Amino acid sequence: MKRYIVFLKQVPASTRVDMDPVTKTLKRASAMSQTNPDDLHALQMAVDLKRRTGAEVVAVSMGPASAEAVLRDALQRGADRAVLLSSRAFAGSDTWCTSLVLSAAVKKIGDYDLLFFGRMALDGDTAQVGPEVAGQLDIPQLTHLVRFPEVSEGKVRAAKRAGNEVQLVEADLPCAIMVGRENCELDFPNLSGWRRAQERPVATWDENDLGLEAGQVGLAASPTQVVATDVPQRKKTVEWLADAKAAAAVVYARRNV
Amino acid sequence: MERTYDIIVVGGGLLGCATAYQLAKRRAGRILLLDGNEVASQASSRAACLLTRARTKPALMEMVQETYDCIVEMEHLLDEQLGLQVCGSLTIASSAASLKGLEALEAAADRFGIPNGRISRREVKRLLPWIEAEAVGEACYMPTDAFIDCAVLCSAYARSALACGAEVRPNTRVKAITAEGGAVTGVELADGSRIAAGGVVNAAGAWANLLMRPLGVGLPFTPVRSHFWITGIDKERFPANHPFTVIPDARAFTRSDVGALIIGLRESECRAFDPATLTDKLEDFDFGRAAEWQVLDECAPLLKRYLPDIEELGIAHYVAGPSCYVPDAMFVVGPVRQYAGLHAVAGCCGGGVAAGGGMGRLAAELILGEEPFVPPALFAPDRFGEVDPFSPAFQKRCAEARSNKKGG
Repeated sequence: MKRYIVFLKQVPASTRVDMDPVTKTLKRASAMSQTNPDDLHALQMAVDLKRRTGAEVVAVSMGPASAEAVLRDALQRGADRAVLLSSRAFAGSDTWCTSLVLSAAVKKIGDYDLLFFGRMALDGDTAQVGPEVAGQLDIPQLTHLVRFPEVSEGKVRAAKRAGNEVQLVEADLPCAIMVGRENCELDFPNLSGWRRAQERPVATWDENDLGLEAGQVGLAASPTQVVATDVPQRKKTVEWLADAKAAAAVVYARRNV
Repeated sequence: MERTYDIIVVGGGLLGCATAYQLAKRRAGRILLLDGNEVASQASSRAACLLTRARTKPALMEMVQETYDCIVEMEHLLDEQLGLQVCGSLTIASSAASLKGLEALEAAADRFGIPNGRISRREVKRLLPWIEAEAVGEACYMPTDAFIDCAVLCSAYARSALACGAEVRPNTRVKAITAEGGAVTGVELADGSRIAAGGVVNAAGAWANLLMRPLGVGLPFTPVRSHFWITGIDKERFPANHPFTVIPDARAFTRSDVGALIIGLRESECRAFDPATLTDKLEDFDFGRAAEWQVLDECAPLLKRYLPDIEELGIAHYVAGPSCYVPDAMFVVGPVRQYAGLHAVAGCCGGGVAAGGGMGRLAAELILGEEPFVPPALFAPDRFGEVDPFSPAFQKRCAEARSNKKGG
């Protein structure tokens, strides 16, 4: 039995998100959330491949308890089981620490053929985590796909964009695949899937379950530190004029400016 | 202090824009419409857009007819088509209780001259390829019913008001309605500036009671979640412009949407919101994401008789919005007696698209002292006496008005 592991991130569904003034990270609990759109395409690709090859699809998310919602979403959309990686020790992890946690989870799940990641998260925009997990696990990675990959005889074959060229590549399994919105169309979820998803358990693992020390992950262990974040401010001064005469006067006064 | 207006309308949704249009076309003086966001961008763009003509209360039929008349009028005024889709409607009854309701609706339609007639199951199936016709007890077809894109309609009211001389100022948030000595004096904007006016119309929808609170007056409604689901596209099963349906036995309505099916469902216990919790923009407001599937799960068994594969149908979109419900499910239109010059047009009860033109007309007639075209007492803001829209008990009464609704 093949095993495909899909990684999904909970991201804000609204632009109104509070920032932690000390850590400069998003206060995720303050925002309405959704599954990161690219990650849904990664899940779809895994589910589509499962229909062709047969496989168990495992959905994994790292985040606070509320991230269980994206795993329920994944179960509704065709994942077979789900694992939530959640611990206070993980809070504030940068992409390197996140990839350490995710690769530890992959090792614990074990015996996998393909890892699927969305190309990038719409809140972080780094596109680093998937490739970093592949690096941590020392397995090949496929990025910039232009076609749906084929899997057979222990290999994955795919077409990928490389500058102005399309390369046909082949990699040994296991392999990590980064998926974008252009790589597959989403099936619409349905009520039967939702009912099924409510009945499935979601396992929760922390650093102890993954064999990690608390000091290896989280904000303090992260090589990346956010110094500050700012939203660009656009300010303009508006003066309401009483009538056309006043408007003409303004234009006249500025005729040589 | 900015220039003075005769009337400021607060709220650029359907009711505010329709009122501004009805005032402007009556040459009611200098009219200013204000909204904190873009016109038609909030609750008015989340409606199901049904223009159901037949109602058991004659005044409501008059108000809906006024909306249809406004559409024709505005198409001439703006020299453009507003995309009214005359698809007809089917009201379906499969129980003794709903048949009684259907008969009352038919009688009302007959009195008002709305074409209607019972049709056979075979004809129902021809009109609605998706329906399980055997589940249909009786079906009444009303061929002149229509739907319209609610944002287009709302924008048309605003542009028609402009064409008639009103000013429309979007993205201008009103912080307060100002008053002195028992009479309104205008509004204060979020930036602290003030605009003077002899009259103010509070048409701020779900936010209206936030503006009333500092004045010590409660309008008798609160926002209640209403929602619909849109399936994936299947043009053969859900052909464009097939009749919309009202199925009281399933607490449901449906309508076509470019090859998909819109399904509106009403849970047994509807959810009201405290207006104090509303965000400035609805995109930031959490209507309860879980409701998308929980409510569908609750209601699917009722709809399954008519749409057997409801559980397997892919759901492409879920749309939730605030409908302002009044305990008696009638609108709130008229003067707020505690303050001279203050009027309210709100409490759409899910009928703002259908009746908005009429609500605007009644408001304009009352403001200008004209003979009202429908009995205003039915819609008087003070008909419940003093109410506190911020109290959970009152909000529950409003939610029950939606829970107990019989029509679509």
